[in-house]
Amino acid sequence: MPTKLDPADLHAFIDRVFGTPDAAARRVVDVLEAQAAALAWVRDTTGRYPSPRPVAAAIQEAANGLRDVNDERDPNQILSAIAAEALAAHMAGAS
Amino acid sequence: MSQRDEHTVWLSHGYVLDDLALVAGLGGTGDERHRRELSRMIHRATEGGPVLDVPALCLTEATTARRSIAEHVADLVATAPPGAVAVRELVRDAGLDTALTIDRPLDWAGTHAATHALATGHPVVTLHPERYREFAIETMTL
Repeated sequence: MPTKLDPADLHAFIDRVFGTPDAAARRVVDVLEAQAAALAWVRDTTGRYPSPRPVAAAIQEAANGLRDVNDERDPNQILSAIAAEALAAHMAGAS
Repeated sequence: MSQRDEHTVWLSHGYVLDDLALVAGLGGTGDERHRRELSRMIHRATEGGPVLDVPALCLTEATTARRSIAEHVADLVATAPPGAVAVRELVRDAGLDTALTIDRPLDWAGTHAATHALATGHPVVTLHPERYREFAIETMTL
C-alpha cells in the first residue's frame, strides 16, 4: 500500500527504514560529494565527459585515503588540489 | 553564469544508484556500513544535496533480492522534495545503442545504470566499479 508520509517526518522515516547515519557514514558521504565535485571540476575545465581515466584514478585513490572517520582533513580542499595536479600532469603528458 | 554552465552544474549534482548499491544499502543482508552510508546519501538528497537517480531496471533487479526495496524507494519519491529521489526510465538513445554493441555487454540493470550516467553526467555509485570498465563513464564506490 502506498504510504502518505508527512514531509516533516521524512528524516525520521529515513532513519527508521534505512538506519541512522553515524559519524563514519557522514564522513564517507562527505568524501563522495567531494569526489563528485572534483570530477565535475575536471569535466568543466576540459569540456569533456568522462574525466580522463588517469585523473579520475588519482582522485579515486586520494578519496579512498580520506574515508577514515578520524581523518579531519577537508576532503573538498584535498580532492580539488589532487584534481588540479592530476589534470595538469595529464595535459602535460598529452602535449 | 551562462546557460552551459548552469547545465553543467546541474549535470554534475547527483548520483546514479545501481542495483548493487541498492541491495547493499537496502537489501537487509548487506553490510550495516553500506546501509548507513546510503541513508546519509538520502538525507543529503532531501536537504538539497546531490540527487539520487534510480534506473528502473536497477530497481527491478534489486527488488528480486528484497521486495520492500521498491516500496521504500516509492515512499521516498512520493515524500522527498521533487527530483531529490527519482526512478528513471530506460530510453532509446545513442548511449543505449552504443552500449548494445560493446564486446562484453552488461545485464540490463548495469546497462541502464551506465546509459543513464552517460545521459546525465552523474557518476554511478556501485559496489563494483569494475563492472563498468567497458563504458566511458565515471564511477564511485559505496
